[in-house]
Amino acid sequence: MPQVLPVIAGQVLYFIESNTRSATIIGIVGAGGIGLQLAEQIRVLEWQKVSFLILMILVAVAAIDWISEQSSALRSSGGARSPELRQVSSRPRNSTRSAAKRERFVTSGVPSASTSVLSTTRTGRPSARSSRAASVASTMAAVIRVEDPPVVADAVMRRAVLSSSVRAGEHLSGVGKALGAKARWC
Amino acid sequence: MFGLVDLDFSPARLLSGLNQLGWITLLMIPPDPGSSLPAYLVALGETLSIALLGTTIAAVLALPVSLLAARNIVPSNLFRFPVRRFLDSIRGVDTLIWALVWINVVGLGPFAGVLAIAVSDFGAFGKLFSEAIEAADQEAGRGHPRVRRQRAA
Repeated sequence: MPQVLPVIAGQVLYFIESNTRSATIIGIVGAGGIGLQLAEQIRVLEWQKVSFLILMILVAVAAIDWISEQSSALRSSGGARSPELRQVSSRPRNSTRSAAKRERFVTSGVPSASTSVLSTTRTGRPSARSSRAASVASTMAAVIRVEDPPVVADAVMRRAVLSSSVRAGEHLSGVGKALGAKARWC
Repeated sequence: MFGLVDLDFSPARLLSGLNQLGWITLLMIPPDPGSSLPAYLVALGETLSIALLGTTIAAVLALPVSLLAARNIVPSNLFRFPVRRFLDSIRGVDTLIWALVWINVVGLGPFAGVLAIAVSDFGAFGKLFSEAIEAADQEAGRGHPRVRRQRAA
């Protein structure tokens, strides 16, 4: 289950983004929302309003895309995507410098700038600069891996549910408007 | 070629249409909400909550069903087959069609939108989740890289 949850959370986040677009479309056939406004303004040839609505939709989709990117970054920084990775991170924390390096690599997913700084000097001894970088890297790794991926994803989802239900309450008044629109549409 | 003729494909109409498209684009500048900006913001919020609620409902409902559709949870082909076909048939109908159906069932309004997205995503999530569950199980079987190397040797 802990393996599956990050995958599922990622899919759900992508679907929320894609559903924002399809919610616009189904608004046109009468399910309320911005699609209804868009269809109305196209019908009365108010092109300036149409372009404004299109821009609004673009901004909203971009915002949701950004949010899901942020939360997926949170998820992947927790590491442990596959069992192999989890094996690496379950050994004693940063027992060696290379372990710290590897940990940083595993948790962030990409070799960061500090990875190259961490390498030893030509004589084989770590320079003062690289050992300082090593301690920074291990601290970073420790901080990053505090966040357990399923917990974070869960929290994100719960917040999303909460805020959407609040907003749904706010916009119940929209139903009345849609009923008015029905008269126009029929 | 026959298809193009059959569908009334004509370059002349496309050219005059392009002219029209240019005019529309010119008319669109500058974007201006007029006096109805608050109404648009409310509508945007409505659309976003339709998407969020619909997706969440679909995900919550699809999770138990996806377990039933996963090969490693329900090994019997006999039980898994109807669940999968059920998900397929839901997924086969587009969100737009579901919206039209639900508008006739519960009436116009955002509620129909939430139901439409929830139902059509339920089918998609059921499939995606069950595939994720199957893939996760295979990975777990592989185990530690060192063990795997020993086995291979």
